[in-house]
Amino acid sequence: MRKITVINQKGGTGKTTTAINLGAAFSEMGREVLLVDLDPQAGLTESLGVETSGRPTVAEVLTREVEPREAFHTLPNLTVLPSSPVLAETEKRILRERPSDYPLALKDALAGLRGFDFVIVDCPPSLGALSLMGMVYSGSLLIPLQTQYMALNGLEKILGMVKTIREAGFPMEILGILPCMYDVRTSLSRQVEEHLRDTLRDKVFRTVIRQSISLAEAPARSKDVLSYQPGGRGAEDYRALAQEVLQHG
Amino acid sequence: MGKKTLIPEEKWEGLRHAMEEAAGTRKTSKAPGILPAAEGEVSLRKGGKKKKEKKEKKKGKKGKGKKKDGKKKKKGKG
Repeated sequence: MRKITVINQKGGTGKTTTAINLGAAFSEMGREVLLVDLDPQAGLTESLGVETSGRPTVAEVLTREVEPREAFHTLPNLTVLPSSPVLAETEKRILRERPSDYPLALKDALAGLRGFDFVIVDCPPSLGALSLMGMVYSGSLLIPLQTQYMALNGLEKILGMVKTIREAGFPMEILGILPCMYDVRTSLSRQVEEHLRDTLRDKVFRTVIRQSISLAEAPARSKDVLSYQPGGRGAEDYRALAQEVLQHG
Repeated sequence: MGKKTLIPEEKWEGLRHAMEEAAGTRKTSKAPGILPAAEGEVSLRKGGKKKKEKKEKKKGKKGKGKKKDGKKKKKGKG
């Protein structure tokens, strides 16, 4: 079972879009995929049209009130461990109850999990306790990055945190940095991508996620982009990313 | 005419260093007290536990009153 955490403390970089559509691309290849929504804003949950009212979510799984499978929602091609705003309170509670080992909360909660080829965790747009739980759970980070100047500042912060976590004894690898929302028409997009490759070399995915209206429209239909517009640019890019991740080993 | 650079070179140099440190390919001075150990045995917030232990130690000492007695005796001698 391969675990991947999609992280960037900046909002709107393409984290949720990447978690959903990378998962959908793996599923299209015949893999069993679990998506974990670790964001109290529940963007992934809502984007896939998962209804959580009166049902357990990742919050209850983290506090061990329910078994993970009790909170799973099964879609035709994906399994989702959904989130809800309650998770913000749960985060505080875990910090109170497990001050010394809270980073292990998700790892402990999903320890007995079987039956999936991929588990993809979507983190909130912050480097708080929930993100740390997500990072420690997988030890493998996929960082979507807008091809813009401000995004580079955020990247430095994430890399600093990775260093700290590694030094604390948790295994941690950067699976790759994924240039997102790439606009081929702007020289800034081209320049950021070019320099990223020159600077960080094999840590940058060869795949680039181009700007595409289908990526923005798919959540409005509660679909991943591969189901919404299978022949579109967005679907094509995420299939390429899935292939690249598989080649990465 | 040279190519117009929108992002300064220092920014990229900083990123290169950050990535090397994150990937563990660059040697840096380690923060004291954070030792690599087996997964599950380490937490990033060791401070909380240490503070508690220190408090308990202090309480224990006060309870026994050894230091106070010792000081009084010394005063008496002098």
